[in-house]
Amino acid sequence: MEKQNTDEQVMYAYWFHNMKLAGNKKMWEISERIGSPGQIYDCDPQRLGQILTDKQLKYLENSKSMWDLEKEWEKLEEKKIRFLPYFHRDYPEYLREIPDPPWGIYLKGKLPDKRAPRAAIVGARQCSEYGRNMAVRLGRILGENGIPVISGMARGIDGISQRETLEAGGESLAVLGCGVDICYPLENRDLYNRLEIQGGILSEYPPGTQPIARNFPPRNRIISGLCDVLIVVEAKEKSGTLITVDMALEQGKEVLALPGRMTDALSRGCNNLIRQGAGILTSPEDVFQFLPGSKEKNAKHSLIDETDTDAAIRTEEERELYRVLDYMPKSLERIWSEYNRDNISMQRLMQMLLELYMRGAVGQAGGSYYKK
Amino acid sequence: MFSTVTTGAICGIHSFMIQVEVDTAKGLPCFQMVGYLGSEVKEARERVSVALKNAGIKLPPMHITVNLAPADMRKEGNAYDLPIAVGIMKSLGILEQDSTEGMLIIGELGLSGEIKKVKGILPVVRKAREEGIKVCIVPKENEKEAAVIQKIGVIGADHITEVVQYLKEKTKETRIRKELPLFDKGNFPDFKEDFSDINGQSVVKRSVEVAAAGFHHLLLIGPPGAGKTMIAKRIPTILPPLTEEESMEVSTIYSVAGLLSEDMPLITRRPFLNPHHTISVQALAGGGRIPKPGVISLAHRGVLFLDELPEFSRSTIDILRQPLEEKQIYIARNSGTFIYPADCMFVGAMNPCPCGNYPDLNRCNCTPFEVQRYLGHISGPVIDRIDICVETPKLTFHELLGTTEKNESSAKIRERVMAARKIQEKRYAEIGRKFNAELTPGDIRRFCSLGMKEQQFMERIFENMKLSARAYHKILKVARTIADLDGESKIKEIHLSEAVCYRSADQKYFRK
Repeated sequence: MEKQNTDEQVMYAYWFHNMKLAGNKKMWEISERIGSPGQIYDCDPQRLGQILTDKQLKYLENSKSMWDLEKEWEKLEEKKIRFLPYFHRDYPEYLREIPDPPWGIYLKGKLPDKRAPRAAIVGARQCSEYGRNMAVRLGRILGENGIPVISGMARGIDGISQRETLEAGGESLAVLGCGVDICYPLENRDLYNRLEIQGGILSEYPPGTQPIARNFPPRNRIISGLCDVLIVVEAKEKSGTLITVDMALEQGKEVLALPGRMTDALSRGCNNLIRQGAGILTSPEDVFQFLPGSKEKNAKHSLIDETDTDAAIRTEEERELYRVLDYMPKSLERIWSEYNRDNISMQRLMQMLLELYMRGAVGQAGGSYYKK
Repeated sequence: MFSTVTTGAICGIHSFMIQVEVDTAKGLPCFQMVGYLGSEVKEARERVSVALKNAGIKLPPMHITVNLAPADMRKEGNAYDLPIAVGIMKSLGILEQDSTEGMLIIGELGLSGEIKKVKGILPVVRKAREEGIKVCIVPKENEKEAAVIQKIGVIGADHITEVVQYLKEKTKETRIRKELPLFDKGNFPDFKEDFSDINGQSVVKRSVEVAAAGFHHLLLIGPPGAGKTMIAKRIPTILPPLTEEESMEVSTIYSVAGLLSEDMPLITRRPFLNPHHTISVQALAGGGRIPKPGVISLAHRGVLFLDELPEFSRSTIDILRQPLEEKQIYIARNSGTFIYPADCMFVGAMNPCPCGNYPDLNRCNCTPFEVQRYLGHISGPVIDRIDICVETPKLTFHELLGTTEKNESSAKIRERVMAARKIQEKRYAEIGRKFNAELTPGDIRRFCSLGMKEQQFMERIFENMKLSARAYHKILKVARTIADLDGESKIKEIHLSEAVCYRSADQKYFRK
């Protein structure tokens, strides 16, 4: 018997979810046995007692007097945070399909369009220059093609790809392991602010939840749950990223891994995935083919596109220098010895590299390391 | 009878003349001392009376009053024993009243009457010469140090009886400067190290040369074992030898710190100090109730090398902020403010991350947070004062094996450095500066003006690299030095681009 309408139910749900008295699974159990959040609120303690311990029960009863349903709801709205419990019409369909879906989610900004095919990009926090480069390119390509990018807003690959997607005019959603009102890591403040406007920030944890380590593995299931394709850019052999991959496989999602050199520790996880049967990602089409309705999309750039660079290199001397460089940064010292050491002064080499850097052909990692 | 003896005291690195006034009168036998004395000066009473007794001079039961004038300056240290003893002897008539005319007497007494060495002889003797003193009686161990000062007689004495004998007979020959092996202008001091020992690392070597030429502060970043320490230790070998004036400045500081010895009465080579990272703030800056010069002052005109920079406590590094800017350090105590010179070339060395392997991510396991915390030990203001920042990459085996014959020797590099310094000296003679590193933004506008083409180039750099005004000025200063090394009067694009490469590695280490 539903005596309240949905809006009120949401308020009750917010109360119930905020009590944090049980984990996600327990919350599902309670609502399955008791019913709607309103019914839980009004439920006879004796019935609840069958599911909850005495301590939890007491806590729940006490909370009712401390928690003013409407005021708390207003507070949440003031913070521009939406709460979407499982029965809400805006609750993402993608999440309904996964095992152990979150009972409710908090959202800042907006979700990608319900039917839009989307990709998730994940990878090492401490990424290499190669990983950075690839994350940038992937983020840009997906952004340009209007494919929303789901990720965790973490340091490294996550943040880089999301930032680039937004930069390219695309849309992105960050799934956090803390409350949506907390920017973690703090250094991604710019990204956080931009996501609020140009994308969304989502979490299954109530606002104010601190980023503690045990919250992060569960949030990975939401990242993989929300996407069609999971792209792994860089991962060490034992990486947290691989948790996301496991979740994605459990949920029946496609996993693509970016190959790397076998000597690079940061590519070992990816290479292992490929051996185990993950898709190999070498061009944007590899992603598009798994996204329904985006087969006709074509990327302006490829992942190893160097047309921009080609235009920036003007002389034969520069081309020769460019050939010495790699995606992994090389020290000036090594560039000099691999390049034509006897015929060129160190000063001239510095000048050429700086010139190429300013034209955007080479990247600088620190003062005396250069990369493609 | 009343008598006076002149002696000297040290405040900071400056010296003052002190009059020891002694009066002996009939009355209740006592020995009292006044004149704002520290406790070690008060103890002189016991040392003096016992030393005199052991030297065969018995103090009669009289009312002895000693005053150290000026009375408003606190007297510290052990150097008043000998002048007090001489003053008493004069007052008692053992010595003639005019026996210490035009003379400065300084030294500590042992109970046997022996004379022990004291600190700060060099500035005291120099001050004495300025005040018109003709002869200084100093402890034997300080004799050579005192003899560094020209045109003043120096007598070293081992025992109080020697002093008495001299003052009675005035026969002992005074030691003068020319007898001593002193400042040698022509010869460059020998170093065990040489730049030719270093294989590879040409970028770093070059940057060190630039830093030495313009007296720029330098930061070396690189993995352990890449040669940072080795290179830093060789910096003194490419700096120009100390001039006589500089040598005197440095020696004065060492004298005050009590670090000059008979073997080394004058500092003739550029100091190189590399304190361990456990050094305290006081040891670095100068400390104590009566502050002694700290390591930063001992490195005056030389190199202060802090290896493993982030391991130093943050407060220790922060101490450097003011002295690096002002070239001297102020230490305030309740006994007064002390100023010590601290014009040194600061060289820091650090790993790029706690494990040291960054940017080799196959080996570096540091989390960004760890890296940030590691780098956070060095405060921005200190980084800001460093003009040149360069990375020392890991050596390849091939480079390691290379012969050292092809490498340039320190002497060759030093020649270039000295030539560049000469150019700077000439250019800045009228504004009283010496090096490019000392230029203010106003000076930069005047001396580092760019041509049209160069200006456009810098504009591109400025926009592209999002430089701050300070970073821009740093680049110009360093480019000026590079141009000086090339003997060019105009800064060219090639100089600027090299300078840009030496810009702080903030981009890499502090970006997202």
